[in-house]
Amino acid sequence: MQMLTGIRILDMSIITAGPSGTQLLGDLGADVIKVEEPGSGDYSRTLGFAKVRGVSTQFISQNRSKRSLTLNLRDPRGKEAFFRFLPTTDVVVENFRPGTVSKLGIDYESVRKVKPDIIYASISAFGQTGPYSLLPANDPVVQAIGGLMSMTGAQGGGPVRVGNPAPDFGTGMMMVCGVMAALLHRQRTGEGQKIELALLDTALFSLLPREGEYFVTDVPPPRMGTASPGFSPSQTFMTADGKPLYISAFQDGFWENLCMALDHPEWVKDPLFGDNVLRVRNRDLLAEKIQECTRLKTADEWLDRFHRHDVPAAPVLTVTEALNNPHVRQTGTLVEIQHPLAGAVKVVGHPAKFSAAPAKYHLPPPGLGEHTEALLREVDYGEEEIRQLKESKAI
Amino acid sequence: MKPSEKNQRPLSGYRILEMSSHFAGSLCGMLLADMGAEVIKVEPPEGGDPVRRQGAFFLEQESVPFLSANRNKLSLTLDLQKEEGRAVFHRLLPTADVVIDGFRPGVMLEWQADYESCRKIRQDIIYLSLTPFGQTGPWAYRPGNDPLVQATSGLMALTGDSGGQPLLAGNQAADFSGSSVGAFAVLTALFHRERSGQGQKIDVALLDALIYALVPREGEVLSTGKELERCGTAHPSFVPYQCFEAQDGKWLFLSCFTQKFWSNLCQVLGRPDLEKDPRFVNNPDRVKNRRELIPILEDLFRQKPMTEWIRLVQKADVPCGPLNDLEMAIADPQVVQNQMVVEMDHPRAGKLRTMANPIHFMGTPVCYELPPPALGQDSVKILQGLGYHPDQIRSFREAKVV
Repeated sequence: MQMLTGIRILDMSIITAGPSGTQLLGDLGADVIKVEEPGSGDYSRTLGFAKVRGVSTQFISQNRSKRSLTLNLRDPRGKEAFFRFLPTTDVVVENFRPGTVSKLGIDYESVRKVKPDIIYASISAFGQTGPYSLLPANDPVVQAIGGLMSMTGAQGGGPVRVGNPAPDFGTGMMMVCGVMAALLHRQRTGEGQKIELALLDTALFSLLPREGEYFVTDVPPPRMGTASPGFSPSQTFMTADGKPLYISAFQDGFWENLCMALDHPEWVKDPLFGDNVLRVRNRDLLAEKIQECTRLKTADEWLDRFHRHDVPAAPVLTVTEALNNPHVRQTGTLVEIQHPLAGAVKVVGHPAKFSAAPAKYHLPPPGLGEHTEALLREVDYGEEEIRQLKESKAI
Repeated sequence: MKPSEKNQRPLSGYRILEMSSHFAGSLCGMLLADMGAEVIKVEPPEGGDPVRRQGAFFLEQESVPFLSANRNKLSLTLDLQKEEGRAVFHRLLPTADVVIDGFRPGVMLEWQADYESCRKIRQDIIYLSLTPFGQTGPWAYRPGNDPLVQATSGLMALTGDSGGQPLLAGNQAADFSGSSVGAFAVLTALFHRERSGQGQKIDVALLDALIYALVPREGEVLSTGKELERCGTAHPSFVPYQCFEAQDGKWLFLSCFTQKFWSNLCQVLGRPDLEKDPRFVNNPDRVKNRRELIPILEDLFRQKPMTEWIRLVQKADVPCGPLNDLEMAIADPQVVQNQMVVEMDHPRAGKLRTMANPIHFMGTPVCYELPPPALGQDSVKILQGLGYHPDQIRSFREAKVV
């Protein structure tokens, strides 16, 4: 038995804010049922150019450990089927534009009439109300409005998008935190509830502690390349073989270790560099001095030396290097799953390792509507009814 | 537990001991404290949590990172290097449900505060180790922090201008990812314990969390074997999808990831001809002819001020937004509507502004009750709660055990 065995989730969310979270619930044993539109399904099934034997890698990344049920929620028969699942459902997740679930008659109030202790998670880009609530958006729009894009970039250069869909992922995580807290609350009190999440709110929360910097200085965080205003030294430095190394030795103890590793023990006593505040003030001078040193040896030579001296330093790895590095291989970050069409594919496993009941990867990302009939039979649909639903494209 | 007492929150009644020395541990503890857990920061009497002194920005001697991530918590000072300190910790354990360990592997063992030691005293304890690189593997014992995890996860290599150098994500992406995965893991383990009575050990590495956070971009690499390119604010497979500079030097971002959005954009720009231009008809055409299309759009966007463009492009139902710096973001009407800035009274720092918890529970709303604690401010109360006599507490104080 897994930790979430017996918990059923009707997941109507698409693309990333939602699916990346519900996948983690599925890995831990929840019965995640992906409710998809007949014919097209989750938009991420066709998104992007990278495909493995016709299957989009975007879909593979975030939809294992789920079953797929196609339902046309605009068709009364499709909606009726949705309601037939509710008595055995614990959690509903949706990320339609605000207002859509009300129009469809599957909003929280309608659902709780059938299942009073339901936990209902609504995800939107900007919030359920307010001036932007009905506007279309995606992850980078939220990175722009939330301030994240503006504080990322080279010094003196333009803004840069953070390379991962940070608000999407973050909202998926905050959603599963909310859902688990609500399940725990229900377990102890019998009460369900509605939870609302917005990509914009998560993007702002994920800026911590940089909001504090602004509140204290009244200066919005500037773009500083690989450095940041509060820490020094903490940035990339070039090495003899042209590979950048990140050194982050701003705490006094690590700073002393760095001075030793660079063969400049006298810098420890240098009044210009006495503590992090001074090192921040004299950042450019210090960076120049360190750069003069790091240029003299290769990245590997430096890394070896830094690790012997307990200096926080690391290579800047590409995604391929990151996924193949010996540490990641040894700790089991990647897992292999068997996909009926795509064959053996590697995916990133569950990021939390539990001793009592670890994550399992039973189900590959489902084909569109792969489990529709089996699921309908579970809620007592007969063969004739299923045939009719199919014919009328309600499933 | 009785149904909904007033102010009952999802984690009311649970006690968490946060033994952490880095920002991610503090943030993880705060996510849980916001949901009603009693989070006790267990800190060394000399100086406390190193985050209290971290960075270059301070308010009345408390660091900005500390003030950001420690509301709703209590502070207990305890010297775990001393036998007496460890005895107090062991007396505290039976009252605790969760331990958060943020130290390098081995440190807690030295203090007899590792999982095995804890579970001897509290069998169903939930024990989260939240570290940069995890408990095993060649990097487990190396020092690490947010930017180093960004560097080793691939995120830094993904972030940057086309043809430029890798860049640090402007936020502490690894700390946020790791702490949210950690909080989720603790919540799941508590739920499991409620149903089964079983506690457990959980290992979360910031590195694993940030690699998971690449979703779904890692999929492209895993399937094609091709490295992803840095492309500024743009997207490798959608055009137009990037920032544009307006007449007044301010920027806006827009993304046409469907044909409808492109068509709407051409209309609002007053250039329906672009939509018909054989070079720009479909997204694959536009990706192929990116270098011809983008300068045309750049010229067009330079003709009106940013807010004017935002108004027009939003009206045309194309995903877009102002490129806000943090000052603009906090003043943005939608952010104000969402009440994302919380004000608290701090005894020394005065009015303290910080970010609200982004999880809006309609049944059990998050509360902001306690400002970040002064070092050791709750020690006496907590020790009294464990049944220590005032004389004993005084002698602990004198011996710097607490």
